[in-house]
Amino acid sequence: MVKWAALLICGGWLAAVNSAVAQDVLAPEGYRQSNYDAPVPDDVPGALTVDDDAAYALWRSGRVAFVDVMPNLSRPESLPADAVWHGRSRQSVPGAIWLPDVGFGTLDAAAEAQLDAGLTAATGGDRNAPVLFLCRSDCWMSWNASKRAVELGYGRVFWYPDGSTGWTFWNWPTSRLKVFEIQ
Amino acid sequence: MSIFRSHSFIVAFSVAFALPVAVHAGGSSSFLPDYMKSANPMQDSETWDDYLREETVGAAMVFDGEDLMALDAPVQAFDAATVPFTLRQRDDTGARITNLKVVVDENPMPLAAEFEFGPAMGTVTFESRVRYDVYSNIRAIATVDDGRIFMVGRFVQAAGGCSAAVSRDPVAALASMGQMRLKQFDTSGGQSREVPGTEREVQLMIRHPNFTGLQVRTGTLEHIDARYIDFVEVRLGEEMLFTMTGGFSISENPSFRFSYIDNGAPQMTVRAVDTEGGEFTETFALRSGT
Repeated sequence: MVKWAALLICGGWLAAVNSAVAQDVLAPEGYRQSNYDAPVPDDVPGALTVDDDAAYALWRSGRVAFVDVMPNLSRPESLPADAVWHGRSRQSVPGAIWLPDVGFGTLDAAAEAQLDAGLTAATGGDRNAPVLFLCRSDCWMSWNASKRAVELGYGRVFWYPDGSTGWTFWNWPTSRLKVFEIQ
Repeated sequence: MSIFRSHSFIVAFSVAFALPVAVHAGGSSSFLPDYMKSANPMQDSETWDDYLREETVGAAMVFDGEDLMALDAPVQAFDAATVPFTLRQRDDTGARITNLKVVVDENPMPLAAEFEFGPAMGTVTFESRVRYDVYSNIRAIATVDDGRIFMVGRFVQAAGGCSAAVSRDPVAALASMGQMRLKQFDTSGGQSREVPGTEREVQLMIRHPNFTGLQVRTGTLEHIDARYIDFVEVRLGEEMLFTMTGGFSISENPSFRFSYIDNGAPQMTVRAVDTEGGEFTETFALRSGT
């Protein structure tokens, strides 16, 4: 162990390697556009990153709107028109609203509408109401959504990067979410 | 054996005449002795309560079906794209199963198949394979000739089967699409093959990729268009054995192993139709025919 530490200190090249390993994942200029299942940065500009315990405490407080942005399985266009299609169900934090289309890098009009209506429903239209975004661990969808909320003017945005992976690891309660429907 | 039979008779009798047994969480009847209970009973399903019950049986009362039939499905499946299940109607139930729905709760297309059984299916034994998207229940929902509906279910751990890579090159799979084979098993028990009324067992295999629309081409990651068999009709001579109306949750190269009561017909005729209008027919000579 001591030898190993000495090696680390002595070898200048090793130090360089070491810093490369410790380097953070870089945040993109705008939004992450592809390869969403990948390591994420530590932070979203303008949002507060929370770990499992903090997320749990926020949930217990009952004052923070939880928004799950895990994508759903989309209906294949080639499917016959009369085929019954249900997508997937989502097991996540109880009381969260599920906006499956808003975590992508680019949103179409329907996704924009879902984000707008979903956030309005979650916060009662108050931009200062606290709102938390999650999907699962190593998932850029919640990163994108948090950033988008900040840019929409939401002032108290929490980002929970461990998401449902962290939540279920601790065996905290979950419930089956339904996709948010615009009223 | 006689103890077992008399027990199951009493159970069937009491269910038939006395109790509208609600299907409870465990999914298996409390009447059954331990050795008849399943290792992977059906689990509570919010999906079922939420919309699937309404969608598959409507408001009809559903009875616990453990005394009518046994459903075998693995606790864990090796390949989520081909999860085998076998439905065996128990002997001496005295009921005729006329309709069977096979449902996989959490699949995007939950109703895997609906079968209409003719009288020649006798005491139903039916085996096939389904795709599994995520861990969930598989249910067999049988309607018997007096109209009552019975259900049994199992919980299978398998996931990814709806989008799993196709087992063959998609182009080759389309080229051989519609080829069929019929495997005839010797279940005569030494009886003369010429006796109508004997129970026979066959396995029908249809080559078809049953593309789900969720699979991608290796390399390009383009989606392969959905194309699956949505109708199959099997006749014994002129007599209808069964029809199937299905979705993509039936595995690629659909395979149906079933028993039937020989009516002496010399051939079995199969007609299959897929969602792109492809129609495939085949006639098989039966070794058991007179």
